[in-house]
Amino acid sequence: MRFPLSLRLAFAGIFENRIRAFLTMLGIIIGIGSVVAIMAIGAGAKSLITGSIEKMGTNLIGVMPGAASDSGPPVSVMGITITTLTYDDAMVIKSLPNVLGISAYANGSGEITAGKQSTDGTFSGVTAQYPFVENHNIEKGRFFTENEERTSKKIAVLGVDMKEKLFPYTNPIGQDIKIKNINFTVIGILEKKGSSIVSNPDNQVLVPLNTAQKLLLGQKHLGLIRIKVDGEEKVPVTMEQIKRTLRYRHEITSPEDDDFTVRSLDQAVDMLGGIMEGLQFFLASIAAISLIVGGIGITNIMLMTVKERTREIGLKKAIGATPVQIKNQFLLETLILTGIGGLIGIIFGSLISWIIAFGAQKMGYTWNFYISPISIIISIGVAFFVGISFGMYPARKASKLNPIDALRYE
Amino acid sequence: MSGIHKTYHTGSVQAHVLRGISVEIKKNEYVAIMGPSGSGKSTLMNIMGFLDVHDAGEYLFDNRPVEGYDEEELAEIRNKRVGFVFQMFYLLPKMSALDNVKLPMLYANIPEKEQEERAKQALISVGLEDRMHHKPNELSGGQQQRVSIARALVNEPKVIFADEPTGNLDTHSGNEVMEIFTRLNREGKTIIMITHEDEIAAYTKRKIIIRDGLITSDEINHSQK
Ligand SMILES: Nc1ncnc2c1ncn2[C@@H]1O[C@H](COP(=O)(O)OP(=O)(O)OP(=O)(O)O)[C@@H](O)[C@H]1O
Ligand SMILES: [Mg+2]
Repeated sequence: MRFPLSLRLAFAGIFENRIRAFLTMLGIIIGIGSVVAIMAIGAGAKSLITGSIEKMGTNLIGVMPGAASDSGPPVSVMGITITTLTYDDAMVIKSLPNVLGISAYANGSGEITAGKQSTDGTFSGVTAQYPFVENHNIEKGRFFTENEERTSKKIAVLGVDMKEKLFPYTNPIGQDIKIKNINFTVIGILEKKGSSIVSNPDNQVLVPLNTAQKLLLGQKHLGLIRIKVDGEEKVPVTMEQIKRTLRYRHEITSPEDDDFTVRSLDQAVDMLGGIMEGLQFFLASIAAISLIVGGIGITNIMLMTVKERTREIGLKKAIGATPVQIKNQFLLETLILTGIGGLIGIIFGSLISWIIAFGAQKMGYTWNFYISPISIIISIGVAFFVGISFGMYPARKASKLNPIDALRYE
Repeated sequence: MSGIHKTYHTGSVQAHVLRGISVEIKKNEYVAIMGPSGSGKSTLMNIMGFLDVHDAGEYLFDNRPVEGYDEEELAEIRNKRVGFVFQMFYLLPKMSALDNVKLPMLYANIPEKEQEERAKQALISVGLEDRMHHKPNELSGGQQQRVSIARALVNEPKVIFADEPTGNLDTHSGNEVMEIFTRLNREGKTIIMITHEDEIAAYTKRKIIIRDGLITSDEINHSQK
C-alpha cells in the first residue's frame, strides 16, 4: 500500500535533512523518555517505602516516648532520651480490649562477637511476643519464653544476616556470642524478612527485654511499644484507649502535655507518602527541565533550517498552495515527528524504568513498575507544543512572503 | 498592463527596476521577453505571474484588475490559471517525478486517483513516460525541466510563464523544451518566456525587449521556427 501524497510529502519534509530529523527526534526522545522514566522511578520509590511499611502489617500501633505534632516525628527520634515509657505501661496496654499482643523494645548498639568473628551491630531487648507481633518467625531453634524474659536469661536470637556475619560456616544454636563483652547463648535464628529502607530486621540480635535493660543498657524505660490489634478497623478505638490509659498513668490532664506519641502504621504510611509526593514533585521539575532542554534543541534545529524551508514554502506557494495548506502540511510534519519521537521516548523511558524495577525486585525490594499515563500525556503534549510553536515560526514567516521572495530567500 | 512600476528597497539603497511598463498580451500569444541582464525581465514576469506585486500601475488579468485579490484567491490563480517554469526547475528533491507533478493537484484538492492519471498524462505529453518514478537527481537537466513543465501544465492553466527555461540546458535539451512550448501554444496556451538567446526567441511569435525597466522594442516575429 502507498501512503497518500500529503503524508509522503510530510515524510519527505522531515527526512529531507536526515541529521536534522535525527537531532530533532533525539531532543524529543530524551525529553519524553526522561519524563516517563523519572515519573516511573518516583512511583517505584513510593511503592518501596509504603510497601515496606505495609509488609509489617496494618493492624499495628506504635507507642513512642515524647510528644509529637500530628505529622512530625516524636522528639525521641531526634536523639533526645525520654524516660517516661516503662515496662509497666506496656503490661497495662497488653490487658486492654482488642489487643492481641504487644512487644516492647529497648535498643542499643555495640560490639558483637562470636569467636573470631566480630561486628558492630544493634541489639534489641524485646518481649516474648515479638515473633507474633512482628510476623517474624523462627527458622531454626526457638524464641525465648515469657519466663526466660522475666528472669533475665542471657540468651539471644539472631537475624539471618547477623548469623551470616557471626557464624558463616557453623550452626550457631547452643554457641556463645558476646554483646558488650557479656556472654549470651544463641537459641534460635529468625527467618529472612527482607530489608526495607527504614531498617534491616535481618541484621539484628534479639535478647530478652529485661536482660537488655539491666545488663546491656542500664535503663528502666522503653524505646517503643508495638501493639498488635484484632483487625485494622479496631486501630482507631484502641489508639484512643491507649492514650487515655497512658494519660491516667502519667497523671496528664490535657493532651497538650502528653509525654508519649501513639501512631498507627497507616499514619506513618501517610506521612511518608507526603514526603514522597514532595520528592516526586522535585523529580517532575527535573523532568520538566529536561523537556525544556529538549525543546531548545528542537528550536535550534528548526531555526537552522529556516532557509531551506523558506525556499520550499516559496515553491509550494508559487504552484498554488494556500497559507492554510502550508500550515496544515507543517502541522502534519510536527505531528509525525513528535509522534514517532514520543513513541520511541516512551519505549526508551519505560525500558529504563523496567530495568530499575527489575533490579530492585531482584534485590528483594518492593518496587512497583508503573508508567503513569499522565506523564505520557504531558510529555507528548509539551513536545508537540514545542514542535508547533518553534517549527511554526519559519513556516509562518515564509508563508507571509511573496512566493518569489521566499524562493530567493538567502 | 499599463504604467507598471517596481522599486526594490535594500537598506537605504533604492532600485527603481520597472519604470512604467505598458503592454498587452492576448490569448494564445507566444511571447519572448529579452534584454540585458538586470533590465527587469524577471521582475516583470514575477508580477505578471502573481509571484510578486507591483507598486504602481494597473494590471488586468482576464479583464479584471488584480489589485483586489486576497491571499486565497491569489493561491487559486497560481494553482489553476497560470503555470510557472523556472530556470532552476525547483523540484522537490526527495519526491519522484510523478509526485512532483501531482503537487499542484494536491493543492487543488483533486482526488488521489485522478491525480495519478492526470500526472501520468502530463508526463507522457512531455515525453517522460519511462522516467515517472525517478527522483530529480536521477534525471538530466532537460528531463528535470520537462518534469517542471508537466507540473506547470497539469492543472490546465491558460497561461504559462517561463523564466529562462533553457538557461541551464544544452542546445539539444533546450530545443526539445522549446518544441514542447511551441506545441502547447499551438494547442491554445498563452506562453510568455524570458530568454537571452536569439535561437530560442526564434521559436516565438512576438519579441519584447526591455532595457532599464522600459520596453524599447515590441515586434512580431514573422519567421517563427
Ligand atoms: N529582491 C530584490 N531586492 C533588490 N533588488 C532586486 C531584487 N530583485 C531584483 N533586484 C534588482 O532588480 C534589477 C532587475 O532584476 P531582474 O531579476 O528583473 O533582472 P533580469 O532582467 O531578470 O536579469 P537576468 O537576465 O540577469 O535574469 C536588478 O538590478 C536586480 O539587482
Ligand atoms: Mg532574470
